[in-house]
Amino acid sequence: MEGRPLEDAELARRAREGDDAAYEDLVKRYGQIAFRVAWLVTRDHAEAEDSAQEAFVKAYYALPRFRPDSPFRPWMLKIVANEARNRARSMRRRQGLALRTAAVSDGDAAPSPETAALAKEDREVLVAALNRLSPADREVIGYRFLLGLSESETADVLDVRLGTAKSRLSRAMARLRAVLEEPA
Amino acid sequence: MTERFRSMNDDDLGAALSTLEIGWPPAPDLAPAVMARAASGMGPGVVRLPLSRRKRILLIAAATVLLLTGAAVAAKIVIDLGGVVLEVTPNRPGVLPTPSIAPTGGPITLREAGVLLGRDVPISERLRRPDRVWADKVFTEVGEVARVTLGWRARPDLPKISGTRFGAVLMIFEGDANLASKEVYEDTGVLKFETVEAVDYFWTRGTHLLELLTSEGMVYVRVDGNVLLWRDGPYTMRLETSLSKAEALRIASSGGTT
Repeated sequence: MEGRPLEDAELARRAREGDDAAYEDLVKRYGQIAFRVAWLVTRDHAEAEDSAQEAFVKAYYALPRFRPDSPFRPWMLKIVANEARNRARSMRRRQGLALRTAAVSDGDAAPSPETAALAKEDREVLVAALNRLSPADREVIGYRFLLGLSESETADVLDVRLGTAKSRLSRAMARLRAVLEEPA
Repeated sequence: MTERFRSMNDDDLGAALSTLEIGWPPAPDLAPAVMARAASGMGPGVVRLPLSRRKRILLIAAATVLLLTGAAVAAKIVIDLGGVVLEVTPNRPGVLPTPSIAPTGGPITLREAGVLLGRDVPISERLRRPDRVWADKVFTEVGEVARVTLGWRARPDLPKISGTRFGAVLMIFEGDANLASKEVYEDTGVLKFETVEAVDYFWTRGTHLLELLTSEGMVYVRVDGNVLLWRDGPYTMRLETSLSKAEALRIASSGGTT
């Protein structure tokens, strides 16, 4: 077992039985994506951090109600998204930070093959278009494509059925396409 | 739109989005703070009840001392009972709604309430069978959570609660999801703590604000009645009456079943 990370299900099972070290492993494993989910909703660093932290604490106390046969990640991220939405609703300053591309310059270290697939200008056009979308559209596209959640996970995090998530994503993509067609 | 995007279908556009490298803000290390809060059972400024009994008593005692001494409490004292969170704040806001009964959800039978809660509904001998039974379901991060409300019309031994036609209203909150928050104001309210037969009870008197998450959304209700709160296994109980603390405690501690 040494050297091989435990599966989520095993960590969640141990955490349910009171093994705090197992829960800590889950927090470390999903801390970053939890923060990013919260940031997509709040677009505020401090609010995102508080949301993610609060969500992990709530999840800790909710572990007895977690179904061990269900995946941990979408369950956790759903709690994060709910917490972030609640905070976003009460934020007076609704205008959050904009998405931006990673600070990779064409002249510096070689970009990853994935990044190289899109020209710098294309990336900036795409991110600018994302920033012009409504928060709801940006959220669904962000979960699915920027964070790489599966359709099922996206539905879970949005707290909607799979079919609803698919149609919401489809509409968001149509609006993204429309924004891309607008003059800059 | 660049030519490149014009020629893309949704799948290709999705793939292009997936390859974007977003400049995410640096993610903080959440583990130390989360685990510290989990280990202590406390969040910032939060006194959480589901702890060992010894810790719980110490925390409640500390909160009670602050209240009794009238200490200027800079921050809220928050006591988390699970379904209901009690918040003691220094001053009441200038404007409060008129007193009323909190939204109850739809009418159901006592038997249906038992099925919903997964247990027999506890009925005090003193109150007898309720005149009305309602239920509401709220979707929370831990799934769907039920709130059952029982109402007894006012009668000679159950004086009317201000703003309602009822003499007693018992709300039963399922689980630990915080569905309700009670703001008790130091200048107009009273919070007392009492243990009867190993059950911890919180008694609040005077005007307070009840924030309640319902299936219709968040509602804010001014409550002028006397309210007793306690945990009964996985349930949080909230009994509102016009009775004295001693009478309310007798009712609460004599809860039989249907």
